[in-house]
Amino acid sequence: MKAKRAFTVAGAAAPRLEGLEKVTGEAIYTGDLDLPGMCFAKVLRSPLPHARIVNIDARRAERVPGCLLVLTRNELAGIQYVFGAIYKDQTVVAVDKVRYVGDPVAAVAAEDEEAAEEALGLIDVEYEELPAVTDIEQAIAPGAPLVHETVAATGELRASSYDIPQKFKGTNICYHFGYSRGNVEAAFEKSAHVFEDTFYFQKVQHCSLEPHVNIAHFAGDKLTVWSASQDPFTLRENLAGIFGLPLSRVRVIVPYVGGGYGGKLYVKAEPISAALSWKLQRPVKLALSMGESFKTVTRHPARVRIKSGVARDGRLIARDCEIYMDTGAYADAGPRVTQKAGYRALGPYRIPHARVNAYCVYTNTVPAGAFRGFGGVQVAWAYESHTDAIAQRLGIDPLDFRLKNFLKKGELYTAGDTPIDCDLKEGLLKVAKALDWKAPAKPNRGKGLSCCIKDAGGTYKVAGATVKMSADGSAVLLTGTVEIGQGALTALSQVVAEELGLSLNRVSVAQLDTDVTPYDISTSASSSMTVMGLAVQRAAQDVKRQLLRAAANVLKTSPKKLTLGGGKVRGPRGAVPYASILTGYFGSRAAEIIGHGLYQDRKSKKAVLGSPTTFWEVGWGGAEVAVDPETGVVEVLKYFSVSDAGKVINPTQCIGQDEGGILFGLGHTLYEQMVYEDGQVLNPNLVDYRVPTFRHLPKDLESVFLENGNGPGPFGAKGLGEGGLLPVAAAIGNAVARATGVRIYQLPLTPGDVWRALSESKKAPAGQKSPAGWRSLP
Amino acid sequence: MIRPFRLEEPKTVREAAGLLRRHGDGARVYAGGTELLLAMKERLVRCDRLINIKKISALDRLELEDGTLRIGALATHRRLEESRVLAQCLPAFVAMERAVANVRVRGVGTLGGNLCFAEPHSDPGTLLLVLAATLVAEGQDGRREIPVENFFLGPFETALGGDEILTEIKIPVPPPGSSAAYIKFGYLERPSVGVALFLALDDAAEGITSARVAVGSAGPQPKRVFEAEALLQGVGVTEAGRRIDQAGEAAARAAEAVSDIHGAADYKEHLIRVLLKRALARVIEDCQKQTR
Repeated sequence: MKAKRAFTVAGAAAPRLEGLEKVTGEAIYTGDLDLPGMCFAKVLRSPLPHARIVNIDARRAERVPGCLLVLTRNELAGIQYVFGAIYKDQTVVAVDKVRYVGDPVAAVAAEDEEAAEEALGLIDVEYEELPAVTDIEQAIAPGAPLVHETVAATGELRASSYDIPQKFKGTNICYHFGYSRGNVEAAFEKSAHVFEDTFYFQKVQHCSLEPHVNIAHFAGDKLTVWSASQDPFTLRENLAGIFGLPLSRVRVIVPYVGGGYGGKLYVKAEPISAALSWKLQRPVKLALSMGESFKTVTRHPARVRIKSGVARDGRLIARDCEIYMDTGAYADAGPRVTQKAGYRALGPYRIPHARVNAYCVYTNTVPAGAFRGFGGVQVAWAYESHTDAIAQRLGIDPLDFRLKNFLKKGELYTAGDTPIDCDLKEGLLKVAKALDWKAPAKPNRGKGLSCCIKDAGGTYKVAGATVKMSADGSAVLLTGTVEIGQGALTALSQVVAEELGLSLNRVSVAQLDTDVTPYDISTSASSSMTVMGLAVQRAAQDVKRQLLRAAANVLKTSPKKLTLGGGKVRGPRGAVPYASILTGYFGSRAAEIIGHGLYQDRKSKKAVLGSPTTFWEVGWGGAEVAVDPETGVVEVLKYFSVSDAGKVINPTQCIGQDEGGILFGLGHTLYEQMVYEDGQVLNPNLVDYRVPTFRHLPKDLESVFLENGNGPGPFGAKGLGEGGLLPVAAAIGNAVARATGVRIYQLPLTPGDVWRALSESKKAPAGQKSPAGWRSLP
Repeated sequence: MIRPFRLEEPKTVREAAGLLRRHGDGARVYAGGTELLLAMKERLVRCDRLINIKKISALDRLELEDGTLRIGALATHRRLEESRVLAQCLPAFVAMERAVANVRVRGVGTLGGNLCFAEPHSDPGTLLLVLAATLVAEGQDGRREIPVENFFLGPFETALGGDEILTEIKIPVPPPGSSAAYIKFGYLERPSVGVALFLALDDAAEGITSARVAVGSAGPQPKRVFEAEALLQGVGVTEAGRRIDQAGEAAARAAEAVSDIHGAADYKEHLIRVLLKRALARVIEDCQKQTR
């Protein structure tokens, strides 16, 4: 057995590097910045879900004192104003049509926000209203009005190309993902039991505390943007495309970001402020309100139909999944989210014959894009509810049913992908134990289990990092990972400190600036601890090699006889501080060592997604609920979460990520939904849209981590952040089903909907009730 | 964003009433601002002038006088939930105040402002209906008392005249052997349904001598339910238990529940029946505890 490495900094519950700054209000966010000559932008948004723009007249607005510029479709000549995360289907401001309530129609730049707001109200727009489609059913109905009549819907992103198959041209379907193995129809024929369920997921918003905000400044043909962005390098590429600039002429700086959750990925409001600044040659700040963020990006509503064939002995043998994802008025990341939803729909089970068809559909609603879980949340709600529904119909204990069908460590999820990298039973048994699974629940109470996996770390990711050691032996890390509140900068600094034998207070992180920070694709997909973690570790190791060489030179010995620790080089003749080594080697304090690190996933034609997953993110969850049969209120009494961390780098941040994910999950499971009526969102604000607060936390909440050193990241780490979220909805839904005997297929489980489901089941003939005992599996 | 407005800061009620009369619909009274400023930001309310009445002295007093609690209209929810006098005389009122919105709203929001804004999804009005409260209004032509039953005319609409300001809320201290409860239900920030019940029992704590029932939030305005009161008044507590479903039906009808993001009308009606039943059990238990 390999001797366990002794860690000094990695694994320590170190406080946040920027924690004090943030809690004292000292931390600088984009909205805090005030540049000389800065003016302010406001956006005029469509009041209609679908309309042709007949005429826009901005003359009255332009006469408002302080109004500098009104940007309409008439001002776009000279730039490539069509853009998009994957498909180029979005324009800086509306050109021919508006496609959802909130679609940017025009923008104003003015000396102050008041003047900009006043001018907005004086822009005269004449619309010709068109019939709208506001949900999946309407959008896929034959002869449905088209959200986009024509669209250049092809794109290439990270080892996958995306386009609309010929047979869907002239419909609202803008992407299809298909996967199959074995002979599904024959396997259904052979199955002893076949079950089919359809699940629905509602439209929800990220609700970052900081709404979208950016400042764009054109000076000549150099564009500088300060933005609350999760992927400044992608933003840079998109802006360079819009304005026809080399990447080296677009500079994106990222101050602190007040929450991301995927909502600040790709391109959001930046083209509007950049276009205004392009005309004005002044810094333009565009700070959206919370209500405007609700009208900028959301999670995909989904309809997921799953049909499974089960053998007499309880083995899953066949599955067919049909998934529709509502991407709203513009594709944004929709095709990619749909691809991932489709890919993840099979869950953690061994199913020899499987087929998945996933469709991405345009509707006249707010665009849906990347959102923590990235398609996995919608299908996890479906497949783990379906798992319990099958077990219940067969009278099998859902725990035993899962244990019987789990993929084993080392087994393939699909051919060509990374094998499953942990023992799925280990986590589920921990959850079952914590819930005292076999003990019967009290009346109106129930327990539920859920286990979800997702390919994680992003697909075909690339990350670079630089570590600079200064003459005094302290180090600065340059990383493209954005601190969006997840604590990544602290954890990455711990990796640097661990590798270089430094205490954490000798490591700093430079502000992210695309002009100087090494390239990174994005802060997403739970990738920072693995993809960026490896780049950072390699950069630190590069510094370490150079430092050891310098030390060997100064101390006249071999690098092999030297080790690093406590800020000193330790050799046969004692320990020498790094500062002495560096000044000794360089001959003065004008000294610096620079180390670089790079990580890149590999492409593979054999892998379904074009590249094997970096690692498998696994989340197990167990819930115990009490349901009030009179009011329909679901109270989560206990939630127990297990995540596979591989190696915990910072326990405080890991628990924060996991518990945050659980609270997030409670939101879409019990409370959150954007309510639409006649194409209008009725609750784009935090009064009428319920985000869970601390008082909604289960009284008993615990998250624990498996640490088997099985991750690809530094010291065996995996990524975290999404795994804890994935099982929540199904664990609670399954607990509600066991408490009441009634399964609900549509989220959220609001009191009114639970009450209605209970009332309807009472009227219906004796249906599926929870059996008193489970029969055992052969 | 809030449009520019002029801020007036009168020192007396009379002065404030004069400003209201002079500026008509272009002026609004500003107290805590928790509802008004939100509505102005959303452009649901447009006014050129805010009349800040917080500079008027003695509008936030809170005192017990001859068996009547006199609460100044500017008393904040926070002040009321922390008041010892209230906790002693009107524990149900304190319990209601403790659960109004959230702590930030309670810190600045006032009881008077809450009543005058007359947002249907709100708590205090419903409870005041069963506590037989009287509201004191002052305008340029003098001062008058409005029984709370006559105060709410509809959503965002009250019986206050154009130049009148609500100055005081008077609540008679309930006699021993009586109790009240307010039970609300909701999963969003604002309540979906609120039910209030007041009962006075006879000396043996077995017969109901007086009953008042009110419902709120579900429909356009909080309402007394006289039909339900008639069913409960003058009967024994056991009989009241038998009649509570019927009383609940009456309350559900009286609420004029509407379907909105807070719930479907039929669900709200169902909740009213459930909550009234729960309120009855709670109030009777509390009354009987007092006699024991």
